[in-house]
Amino acid sequence: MGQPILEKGTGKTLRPILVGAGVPGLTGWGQVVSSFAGAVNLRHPQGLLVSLVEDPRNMTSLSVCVPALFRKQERRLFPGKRVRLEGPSLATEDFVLDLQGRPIWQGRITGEDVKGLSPSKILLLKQSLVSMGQDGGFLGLLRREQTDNAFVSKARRVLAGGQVLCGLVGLGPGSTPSGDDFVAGVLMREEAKAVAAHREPVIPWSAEKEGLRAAMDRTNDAGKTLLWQALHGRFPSYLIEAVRSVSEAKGQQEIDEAVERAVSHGATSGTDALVGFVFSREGTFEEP
Amino acid sequence: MKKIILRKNAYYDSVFLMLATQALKQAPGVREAVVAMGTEVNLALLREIGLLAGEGESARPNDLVIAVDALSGEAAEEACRIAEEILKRKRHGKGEEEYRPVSLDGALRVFPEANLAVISVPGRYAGREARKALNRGLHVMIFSDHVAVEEEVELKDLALDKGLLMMGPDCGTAILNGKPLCFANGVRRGPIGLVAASGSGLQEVCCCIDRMGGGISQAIGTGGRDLQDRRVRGRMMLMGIEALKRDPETRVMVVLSKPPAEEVAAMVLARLEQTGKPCVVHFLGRKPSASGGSIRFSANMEEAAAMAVALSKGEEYREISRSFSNAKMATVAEAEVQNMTSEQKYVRGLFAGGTLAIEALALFEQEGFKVLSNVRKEPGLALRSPHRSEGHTIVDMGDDVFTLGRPHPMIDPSLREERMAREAADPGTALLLLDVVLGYGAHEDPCGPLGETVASAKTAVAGRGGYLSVIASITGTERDFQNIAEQKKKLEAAGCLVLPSNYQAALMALHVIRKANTRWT
Repeated sequence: MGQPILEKGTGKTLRPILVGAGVPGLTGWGQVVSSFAGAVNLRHPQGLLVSLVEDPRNMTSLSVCVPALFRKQERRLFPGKRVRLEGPSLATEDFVLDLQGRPIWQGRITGEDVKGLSPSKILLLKQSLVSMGQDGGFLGLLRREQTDNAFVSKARRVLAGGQVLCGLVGLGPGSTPSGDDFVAGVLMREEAKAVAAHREPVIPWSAEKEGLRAAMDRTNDAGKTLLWQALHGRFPSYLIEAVRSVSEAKGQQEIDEAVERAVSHGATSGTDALVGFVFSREGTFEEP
Repeated sequence: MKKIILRKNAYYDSVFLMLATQALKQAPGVREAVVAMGTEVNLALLREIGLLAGEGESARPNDLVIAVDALSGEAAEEACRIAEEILKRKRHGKGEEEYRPVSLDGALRVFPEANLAVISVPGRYAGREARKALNRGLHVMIFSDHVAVEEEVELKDLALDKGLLMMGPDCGTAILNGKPLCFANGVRRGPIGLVAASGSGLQEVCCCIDRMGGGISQAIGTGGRDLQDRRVRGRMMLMGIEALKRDPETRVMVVLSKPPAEEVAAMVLARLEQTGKPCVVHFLGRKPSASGGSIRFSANMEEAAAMAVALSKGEEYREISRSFSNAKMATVAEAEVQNMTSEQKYVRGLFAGGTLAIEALALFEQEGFKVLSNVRKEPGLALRSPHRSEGHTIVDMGDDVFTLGRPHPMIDPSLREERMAREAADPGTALLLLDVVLGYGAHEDPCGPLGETVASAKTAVAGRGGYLSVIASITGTERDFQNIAEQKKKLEAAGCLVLPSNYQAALMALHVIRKANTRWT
């Protein structure tokens, strides 16, 4: 696999197989900022990244899954290329992605995803994560041992000092800062609990969604994109899949496998998000 | 000495940033290195720990900040040079890079004389790409796994119709006409041709042959299911044997496989008889049959190599020359267990090579030990979780469950290093049995980090009053770019016993474990 490329011919129309629910709502000129083997990222003027992906497992509500884009050569989609987001379509000078009538990927947790989630499952998830998670990000928050990771130490101080989750936004290594993944995981846990209880989600330690919204401007585009979706109750496919797998797991082994899959996402992103999902502070919300 | 590198509007992928961080932290003289985005809180933290200086202050959230704290100005400069080199190498899609085709058609336009395609794409696409390549008259090597067995059969039939090789799926190594493919070692050329349904096994036998003074004509991989699955019926093994029969350079043949299906094994042996060339057969996990006709059976992979070398030189095979006799192994074992606690009883084999794991496992089982493993599927022998050892355990860490979405342990040793630390923390662990595979595609300095982990593990066990025995073998040759002699020194400096073959390492481990299990009774 190499650089993704476009279908041949000017004016070519490609039809995605899945469209993230947030994409048709974005309009204006975007620009390609990065191009990897299975994904191209476009930056929207709001600072949100819209991803064109090859694999449906990499969907988010701001992604478009269009495998045909990655199959053929002739032209490549380079950083710097301009893309017009027009609601029902995305257009470059060489091709158009026609989003109309395509299946919409919501990125929401459903009752079906969480019906088997229990405190004991969360505990098993935590144990599995401690032993299999990727070091380098926020895994140290769960291990509760001395660490020479300055980011973890800082995160501990933020949490111990009673500061709200906003204090973690933009903190940490990685192209998506670990703190952003962690916060997304916390929000996902709240969403999962709310869905299970048929109520509105509550953000722990911070009653104000507005605080997190404001904090989004202090992180980079990748982090902002993740948090923007999480604040709208939408999460990446791999995280939803992880939660569903844990919910449906019949034992430790299946949970181990779910964690194994999730922590392979990014460098530490999968680990950091799950750390957020299982993390709790005594007396603040329940210990898994 | 502190240095900062700033990259404006940098969009790198996370895995790359992690690898860059590791590379910087391992650079000589570097005390600390941080690679992070220039967000407000990250900059505040870098300032707080004294790592922020100069242009770093002007970083914005989408800028990449690399902060290095080194022992000297020279070390800091060198670290920055490494960082610049990494960033340059990995810069994505700026258009100034050399053209790299992204499809088979594109590749053939650039290189129309190509006659072989190596396919490494997600498994569900691999069959489609292989079919395309075969239909364009190319031999195929499918590195990918997760290809359905029905598709494998269909592809191999198509290849047979066209007289082409279809190596794989899950074929990690081959040497064709002296050209190494994927994970392969630098070996001298010679008259011994191999066909193997076993990747690391093929590498081990090739390296043993090279060490014993022999040489390789061809080394053909078939993919692990070729002999094991009755539906595949050894299609590529049979074709490989036919190819070696016709190859004038090949005078001796070696056939190697993980435990084959009975009827497939019989077909393979019948075909070997028809070649008229002397053959050595090693089916892992099966006791060798009595040799007869032109076929000789070996008891282990090193012996297969020794038999083939002897045959290629027109000599009678006697016995492999071992650097440790049984008596010497017993003496070493006695010394190894001397400082172990009474709780330390178990072998923990952590392997990068699946066949190497199977060979060690088979040896322990032959000697009556119950060993749990992820290569076993039978109830009572399979590990409940591949991530947790129980009693005597041998783990193939190249198994899908460990490699999904991350590099194979031959490329990235970190997963095994973490596991070693966990095993060392288990009071029951007496011995770590390891393999190291060198060659193309493998880590550039596997024994560097591994040696450090061995030393830490030993220190941890000594700290609670025990002793951790660590035994390893290195699958490699003097021609491998990693420098096998240097690699061996690094392990030995960490207190690891390094044996010349996987078989001998497992045998030594067996002696130690026997001793550890009997000395307190």
